[in-house]
Amino acid sequence: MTSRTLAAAALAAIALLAAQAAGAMNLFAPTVSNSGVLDGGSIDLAGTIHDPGGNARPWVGQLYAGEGECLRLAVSTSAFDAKLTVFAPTGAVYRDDDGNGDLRPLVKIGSAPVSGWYTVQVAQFNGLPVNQPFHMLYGRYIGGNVNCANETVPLIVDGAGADAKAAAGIVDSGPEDPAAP
Amino acid sequence: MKTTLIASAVLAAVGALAPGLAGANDAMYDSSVSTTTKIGGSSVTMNGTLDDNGIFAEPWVTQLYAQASECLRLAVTTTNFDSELVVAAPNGTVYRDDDSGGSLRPLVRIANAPSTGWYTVQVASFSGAPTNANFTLKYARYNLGNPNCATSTTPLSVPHGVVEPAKVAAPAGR
Repeated sequence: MTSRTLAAAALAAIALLAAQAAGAMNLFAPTVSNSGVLDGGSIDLAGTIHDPGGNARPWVGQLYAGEGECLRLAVSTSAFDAKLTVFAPTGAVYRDDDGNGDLRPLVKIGSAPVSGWYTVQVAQFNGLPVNQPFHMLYGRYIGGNVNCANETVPLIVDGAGADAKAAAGIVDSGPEDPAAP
Repeated sequence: MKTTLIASAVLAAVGALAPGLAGANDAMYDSSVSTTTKIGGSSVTMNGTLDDNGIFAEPWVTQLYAQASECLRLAVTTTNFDSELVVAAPNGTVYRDDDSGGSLRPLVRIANAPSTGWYTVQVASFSGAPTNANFTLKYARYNLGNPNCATSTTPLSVPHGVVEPAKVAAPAGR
């Protein structure tokens, strides 16, 4: 009996460790859906933001998409007012606050710029600490799929801080300094 | 005796799992807020590696701590590839730089950190191409107004003509 109890406690501890680390792990949807249903074929990820001591610590994960695919990320349930920020490997940034209605964010990347892992941050919209669970639907679709209609526009460098690449409408993919090593 | 063996095995399993998971959930903390005026002074040096398989780009990602109103400086100081830094504050403000550190090295200077908490930091090839190379990132927190954050990095913004919906008041109970 004691052995069983210990074994159960051990499994619980391992599961807890895995759950705590899951927020920053790489997650992969193996299928690229052609569903015409919004969020059809998506994977439902359950996460938690746990901010002790007045410090905000966003949930961060890396989710895979192939070049040219539609990548859709929708916070579907939330006990807090969430915001999504997504970085492509190219540095292109997509951000949304309330696009999914009812204070829930939705990012739709119509044509993923490269094949790789996209960094996804879920946080309270104003950066305050929260202790709440959430659900996020992660779906990969074929390019042009209705799930990426009205896609999220990437952020830009603006004003005095604009660099030559951004001013030319290029998101950090232009020629680099040839004199550099 | 049997119980002891099981307990030992369990603890060993947990211990073995923990270091493996730590790398995927890194959060690093500079315990000091420096007032040095030396550029890059009092930085914490981190060595990282991008280890892509040649097909899929997997940026290096971590979370670094700063408090509201501090100067947060992140500089890639050595690299074998043309890297780019992207940093998101907990409130969603995003800073990106490609070459401001010179010699294809990115440098992000957040003069007045908007939130107290963990800032998501991504290091990747500027083009998003898969990369196998090492880099060094220097991370430091300074007092507000410190010269280490002179010429602050401009946060990214929504393009002209695109309207970011105004915040709707949260319903009662949220």
